[in-house]
Amino acid sequence: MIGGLTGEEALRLALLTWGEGDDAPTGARPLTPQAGESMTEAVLRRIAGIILPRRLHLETAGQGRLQLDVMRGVIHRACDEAGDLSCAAGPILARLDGLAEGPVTWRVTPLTEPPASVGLPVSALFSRLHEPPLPPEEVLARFLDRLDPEDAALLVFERGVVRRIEGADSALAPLAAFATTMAASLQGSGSGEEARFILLLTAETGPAVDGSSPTMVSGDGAGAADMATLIVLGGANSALLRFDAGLAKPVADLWRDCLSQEAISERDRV
Amino acid sequence: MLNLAVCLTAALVGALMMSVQDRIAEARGRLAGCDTLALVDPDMAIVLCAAGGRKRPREQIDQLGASAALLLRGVVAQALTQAEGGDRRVVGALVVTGAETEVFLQGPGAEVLSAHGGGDLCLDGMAEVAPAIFAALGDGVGG
Repeated sequence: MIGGLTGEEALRLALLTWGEGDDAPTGARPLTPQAGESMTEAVLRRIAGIILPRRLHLETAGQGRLQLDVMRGVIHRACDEAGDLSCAAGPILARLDGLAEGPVTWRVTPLTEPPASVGLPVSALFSRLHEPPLPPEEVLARFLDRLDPEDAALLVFERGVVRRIEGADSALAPLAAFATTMAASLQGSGSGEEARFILLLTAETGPAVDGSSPTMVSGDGAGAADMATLIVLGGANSALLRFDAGLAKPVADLWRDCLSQEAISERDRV
Repeated sequence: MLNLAVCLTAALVGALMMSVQDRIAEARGRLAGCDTLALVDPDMAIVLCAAGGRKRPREQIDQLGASAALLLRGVVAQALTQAEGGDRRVVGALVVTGAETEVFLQGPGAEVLSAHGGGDLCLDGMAEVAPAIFAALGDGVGG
């Protein structure tokens, strides 16, 4: 079991979280196993066919290393649990290893030793499986409970007052009060409501060889951001987190999905 | 003669902006969940041009410029880069408010591409349409 999930659930969760593109920005299409195929094998097949090419793009851009680590960890654990999935997972793991031969340093992990640094993303995504969807505050609470401080710096605050700091980024503490004020000043263009989720991506300025500025979007569509700062306003569980920018997309999708579901629930109640 | 030059310059600038405007309108049409796509100058906190799928009040569109300035140039960016060590810059932002989503992507120049939409605003699609728009700006052709 992985945090209360079976290996198959963890795989399905990973798939849901990464999504499949424009037609499913916050989720995935229903997955139907082919004849003689288990659901886990179907998920692995889809990972191999759809998700890995996208990761390849990210990896080429110098990002996505952590996602690959996470994916490897999920697959390893699923294999360990099922015991007989090595054949199905083998080609995928080999492909992941192949990505390691690119420009990004890769830590090859034996099949029996899952990567250690899977705490943040996998744990953070657990609540995705719960039905009905949890309110954002509850998701955040679970997120914080399961966070591995080695994967991210965390600041928990309430109305600008810091309650807890984990990780090495105590320099972020002054941002707590600021984050509260900032959220109030960021009102949706249409609603006038205060922002509840703010994700900021940063890049090193470095020596500008060609005089250009750091950019989010380069000519080939790759991003230059390497760190993400996430501010979530949830009352007593307001939090500010920093993590690898490669995780920004799955985390953003998770939260947008939670907030959308909450909005739908609210609308239905009205 | 002066009037002719002014007219020609205005026509050239108009054609250029129209071309960028067309690109943005085309991109907005392809961007799932997007109701407004805008090119913003965060230093001036103004919207340079925008395309929308439905009529929206001007002040709502202008809010994108103000938000871009706050997040990518203003006190938010300054505080964050200071906390991170100084040699850094905010190059992207995502703000979720209720069921609304706003995205800001820094281009290679001063401009920022900004999108407003619902909870289904496609982030991948935003990253896909942005390079062509920024490239058009960089070429000075836009078309």
